Amino acid sequence: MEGHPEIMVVLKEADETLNFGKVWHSDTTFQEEPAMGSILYGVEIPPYGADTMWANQYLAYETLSDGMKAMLEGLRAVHTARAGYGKAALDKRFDSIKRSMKIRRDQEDLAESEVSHPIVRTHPETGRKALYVNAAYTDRIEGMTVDESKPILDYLYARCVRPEFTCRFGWSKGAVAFWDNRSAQHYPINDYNGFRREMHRVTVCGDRPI
Amino acid sequence: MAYKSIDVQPISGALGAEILGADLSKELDNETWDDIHQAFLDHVVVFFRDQDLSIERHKKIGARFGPLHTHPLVKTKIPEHPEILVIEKSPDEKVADGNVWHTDVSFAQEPPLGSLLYAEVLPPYGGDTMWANMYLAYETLSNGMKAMLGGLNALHGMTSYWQKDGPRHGGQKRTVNIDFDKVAAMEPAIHPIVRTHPETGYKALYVNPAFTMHIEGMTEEESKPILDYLYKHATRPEFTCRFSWSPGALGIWDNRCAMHLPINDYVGHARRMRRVTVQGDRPN
Repeated sequence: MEGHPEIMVVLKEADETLNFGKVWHSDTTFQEEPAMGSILYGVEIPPYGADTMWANQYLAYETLSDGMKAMLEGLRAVHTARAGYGKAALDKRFDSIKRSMKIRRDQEDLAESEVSHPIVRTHPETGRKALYVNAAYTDRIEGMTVDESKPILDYLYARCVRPEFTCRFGWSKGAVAFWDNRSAQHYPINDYNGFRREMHRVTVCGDRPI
Repeated sequence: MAYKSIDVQPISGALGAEILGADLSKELDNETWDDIHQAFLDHVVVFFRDQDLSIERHKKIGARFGPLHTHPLVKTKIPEHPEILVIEKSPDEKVADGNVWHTDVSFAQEPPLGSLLYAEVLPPYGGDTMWANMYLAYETLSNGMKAMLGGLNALHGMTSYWQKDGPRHGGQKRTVNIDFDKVAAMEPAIHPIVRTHPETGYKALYVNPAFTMHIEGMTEEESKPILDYLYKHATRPEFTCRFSWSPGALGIWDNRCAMHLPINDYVGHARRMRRVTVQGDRPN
């Protein structure tokens, strides 16, 4: 947004079919210090659909067995934005499909970079442990191959978003959601083709996960 | 490895070798035995063809490896030789025994060291057995995966495969009789997922889809993705060999660092094998 670089306009026009952030994820985990939280404001809302879901990553962790918790305890995972924002992805993406969300091409080094975070992070304010992997940005378990990591990560992704650990919010114009990105994943539901949706997001800086 | 009294011909790049120049019907001198034992350690599974092996000789060769083992759950066919396990399938049986990758009797606290399988009656085609090298399965894991598995144990027991209504049975005729009262009373054994071979000192992956139930401390659901990955990894064709039996062939495998899979592709034909099993120690 002009004059307010911290405001990210999350927009999908009526003639677009793809939405932004279309897999379960936590925001910007590809950064060394991922976002602490996001504040999303409903500006224009379709007549139906376009809910957002959140999943409680404290619960995802706490419901694991003691053996699984112990196994995950010392492990770290490598996160990268390469799959969505990397050069190869953007070269493919700049195609005939219309998108309002423009990706900066001057940030390729960041998009191609990798950072590792603990798979189980401790929330700096509540002290509770939460699972901290997501299907959008987690590439592999540190020290393992992608093939080896995949069965474990896929299991965790599925586990993280069990319906029992989620909520679903129906937006209205003027509604605000503020979520804790350190202990939640979210998923925007793309079920409103033919309608315009505009949201404004403010993202709060976070610290390094430990 | 140089052998003085036998020729050793590998049958694949992963494991398995045919031993030539040994007559097992006669008493083995120490030099020949040492060579055979070394080839067994070097190749994980060794084969001899065209052997005239009486039950007594079969047991005697097994006893060179260590005290013989009697299967805890299978009812014996030859009362005077309880250590002989007859693995038999008649032409009208559809289901074969152990028709899933496994190490023998890993549900025991001290699973067998190895098995000596002798071919008596063979189908006109099919009935091969495959082995997988569990050293290679371990060594080819990433350092991160090795570190993660290093401290983990798994429970081994009679998984659903073996239960009365499991896929082994399903109302089908069976020649090999399992004692289900004993199956029901079995306590699972807990073994490390990575074991160190007591003779070679090498590490080997030690889980198998027939008997491994779950990782210690985890649920079956949590363990499954990890175990399934390890099974698939361990049985990559590059880590296996496949042996076509002939009457009088003997296969001896190291049960501490191999899985094996009997291939059931000979329905309508009879097959009878005689197995001698050698006692092993507690995996660590």
